[in-house]
Order: sequence, then C-alpha cells, then structure tokens
Amino acid sequence: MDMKAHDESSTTGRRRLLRAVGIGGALSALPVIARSASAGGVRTRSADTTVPGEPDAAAGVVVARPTESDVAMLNFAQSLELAAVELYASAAEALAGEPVVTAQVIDVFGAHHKAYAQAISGLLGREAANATNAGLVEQLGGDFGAGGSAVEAALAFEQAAVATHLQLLGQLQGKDGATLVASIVAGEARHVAALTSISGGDPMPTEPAFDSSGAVSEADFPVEA
Amino acid sequence: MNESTLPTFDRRGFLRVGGATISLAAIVAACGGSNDGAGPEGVASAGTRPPLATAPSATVTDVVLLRTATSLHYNAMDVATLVEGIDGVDPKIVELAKTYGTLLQQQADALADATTSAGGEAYEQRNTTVDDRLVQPAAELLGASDTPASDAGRLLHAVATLAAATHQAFVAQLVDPALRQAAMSIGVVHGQVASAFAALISPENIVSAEEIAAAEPAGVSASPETTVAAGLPSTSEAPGTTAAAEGGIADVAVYMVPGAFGALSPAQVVLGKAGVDGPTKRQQINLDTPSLNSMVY
Repeated sequence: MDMKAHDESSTTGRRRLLRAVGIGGALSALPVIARSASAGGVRTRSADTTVPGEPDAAAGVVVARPTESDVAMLNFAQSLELAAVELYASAAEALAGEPVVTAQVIDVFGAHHKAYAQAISGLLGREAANATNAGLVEQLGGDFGAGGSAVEAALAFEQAAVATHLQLLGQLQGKDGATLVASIVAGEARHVAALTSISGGDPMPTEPAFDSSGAVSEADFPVEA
Repeated sequence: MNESTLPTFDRRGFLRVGGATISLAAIVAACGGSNDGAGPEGVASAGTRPPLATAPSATVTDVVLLRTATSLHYNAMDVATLVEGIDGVDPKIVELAKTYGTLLQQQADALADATTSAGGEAYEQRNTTVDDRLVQPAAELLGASDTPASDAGRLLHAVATLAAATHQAFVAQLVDPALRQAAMSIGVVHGQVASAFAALISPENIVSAEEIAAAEPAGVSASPETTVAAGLPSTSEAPGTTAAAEGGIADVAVYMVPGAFGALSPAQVVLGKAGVDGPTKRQQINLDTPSLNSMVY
C-alpha cells in the first residue's frame, strides 16, 4: 500500500515536473521565436542554436557563434595573447632595477593578457587551440628580457596587438567573437596609453582613429597547435 | 421567547440570497453591449475625443547606429567647449580639451561619411536626448560646483569613457564587420583620451590596487613604493579627495587602465555644490551608453 502510494505520488510528481519543463521550455523558446519574427526585413537571424565551427555565414547575415574562419582567427588571437603572457613574465624578471610601479604595471598587464586568452578559450570551448605563438615569443623574447627595454618592447607589442585585433574585427562574422575582441582591444588600447606615459611620452592620441597597419598576421606567425 | 424573535440566517436563506445575486449578475451582464465591456469603446467620454496614437516602430540598423554615434560626438564637443571656458581649469586640461575637440570633429566627419556610404543620411548635430538628459544637467551642476576647475576635467574624462563604451557596445549591434572595425578604431581612441585625462587628474593611478594585488604571484608580496601611492590601507594620512574632505560625496577614482576588458558600465562623475540640498546638490551622475530611446532613427 505504501509502495503504491509512493508510486502514485512519484508518477504525479514526474508528470508535474514534465509539465513544468514543457512550459519552461516553451517560455524559453519565446525569445528565439520573437527574435526570428522581429528579424523580418532586417539583416539578422537567430543563431542561438549554432555551434562553434559552423560553416561560414552568407554575406549580410548575422550569426552569434564563431564560424569556421572565425575559429581560426580567434585561435590566432589567443596565440598572440598567450605569447604576451610569456613575454610579460620574462619582462617582469628583467625589471629588477626599474621602479616598483613599472614592475607592478607589467605584472598587471601580463595578467590581463592571460585573462584575454582564457576568455577566448571560454568562447571557443573544445575548438580552442590554447597554443602559444612560438614565433612571436622567439622574435620578441630578447626585447622583453634582460638586455632589452621591457617597457618599450611592451609598448610596441601592445600597439601591434591593438592593430591586429582591429583587423580581426573587420573579418569576424560571429557576433560573440566580435564582441569579445572589441572588449579586449579596448583594454589593450589603454595599455598603449599607460605604457606611453610610463616611457615618458604623451598618452593623448593625435589621430582620430587607430591605425591598424601595424598588425601581425598569421601568415608570418602561424599557430602551431 | 427571545430566541424566536431574533432574525435567523439559516442555510436555506443563504442559498436563496446567493442564487438571487448570481441571477442578477447574469441579467446585468446580458444587458451589456457587444464591445466586451473593455477597451476605449467602453469608456464614457464627454466632448470630442482625440484619435488614438499609434506607437511608432523603428528598427536599429547600421545606419541608425552610425547616426547615433555621430550625434554623440557633437554632444562631446559641447562638453569640451564648456570645459575650455571655465575659469581656473588646469591649462593642461584645457589643452587636452582643445585637442579632443579637434579629434571629435574629425571622428564625427568620418562617421558621417560612413553613414552616407552605408546608404543613410548623415546626422551632423547633437543628440537631443543626450543633451537634455546628460549634458545640460551636468552643465548646470558644474556651474553650481564649488570646485568647477577639477570637476571639469573629470566630466570630460567621463564623456570620453562614455564615448569609448558606446562604440564598444555598438559592435554587438552592427551587422557589417567592416563597420565594427571602423567603430572600434574610433572607440579605442576615446579610451586613450580617457586615459590621458586620468593621467592628469590622478597621475599616480595607472592601475588599481586591487588589480596589483590580483596580479601578484601566489606567495610573493612585492610591496609598492608606498602604501598610500598604491591606494592600500595605511597608517599615514592619505590625500583625500576634495569633496570627501568636506564631508560630501567623494570623487570617483579614475585610472589610466581601469580594468582588463573594456567596460560597458555607466561612466560616473560627481558634480554639484557640496553642503546644499536641492537639484544642484553634489551628486553622482551616471552616463549610460545610448539605448533605444536615445538612438537617432
């Protein structure tokens, strides 16, 4: 009897749960439907169900998740950030004679680049290469390390990073990737201003738009997973 | 006896009264009109009634975002001009404001060209909503301030921060990747302008003490040059902000690099007159990025 009563109550409970899930599912689908409906006549479509690495979107269509080509570009951006983490770490070791404030700023900026790499990894999930750009580390390691001017090297690197990310913004199709890169480049541009100030320059920009001609390319510094 | 003379309300009486009530309600409902008894048709009115207004519908397109971004530059130019005209402002801040004003005009022109290229009509004037709700109230508070010289620089810092955040926010809404790149190419410059103002307002604030602490390797405690310089708790007297020293609202701390990522949170600035109550009292103003009600459609 007790068993029967238990079975009945569990059946009722399961049914109630299924009903609740059904209602909840229907409610959660509403925004997607609403977005699709409101997209009539606008160059948008709901892309919440797409997965990383989906085929490239047709021109004029907005997708949320990174497309196949986006994944490659974001992995390149991540390799650049991971290279920065290594370069800033070597700079921190070489800054023994510099003012403590400079060393602290270098530490903080290194941590920022680590956060950027982690954010890209979070966006790409299993598609993330998580590979350091060895070519960049090899080429710039001497400038950041002992014997070089770490602040000058960091400034040059940050300028190149801003230019690179701005160029990527012009190519990324997925909205999620573009939004993330925009937030990263906003931080790196501030790094440029701070490092310019630390190195004795005027942080005030003189041009109305950032010149992205100093970008580094994947052709020159390929990602080796 | 007494009990028999008292009015009683037994079950039968209750049912009778209840039934009569339900019947009456049904009759009243049946006598009603065919307009369901709700909506404008059911509301009695005297005289001529104005026609019902239809809510306008508008779509946020790339052109709308470009027009809005352009308009915001004209608002920023107004603030730069305002700051230039305030007595006692640090000449370096005034010089920066002039340079920023020049950059703003160039950026506005570039955005207007981009609007035309995208098939829209350029909007080369200030955003009236932003002017009414942000610029004019801020100007009034700045006029009432006891410390207009320092507040002016902080206001322009907040405006540059707002412009940077706006361009970043628009990336998520722009459809054309080329326009996203163009928007951020300008947006990062606004961020650098904010850094330049921060360097003049608080030269010691490059990054926050929290960020320094977070970046320290575990087990290593590289102490800053001074705890006061790093903004850490100290037994020595830290230089207080002007308003805080007078018991008012403390100025918002500004940093050259306020965080790792570009922030979309409101830019904040404290303006107004300390020690008074009323509309011009010293208060914190939040400068939010433009939303649907401040877009230029």
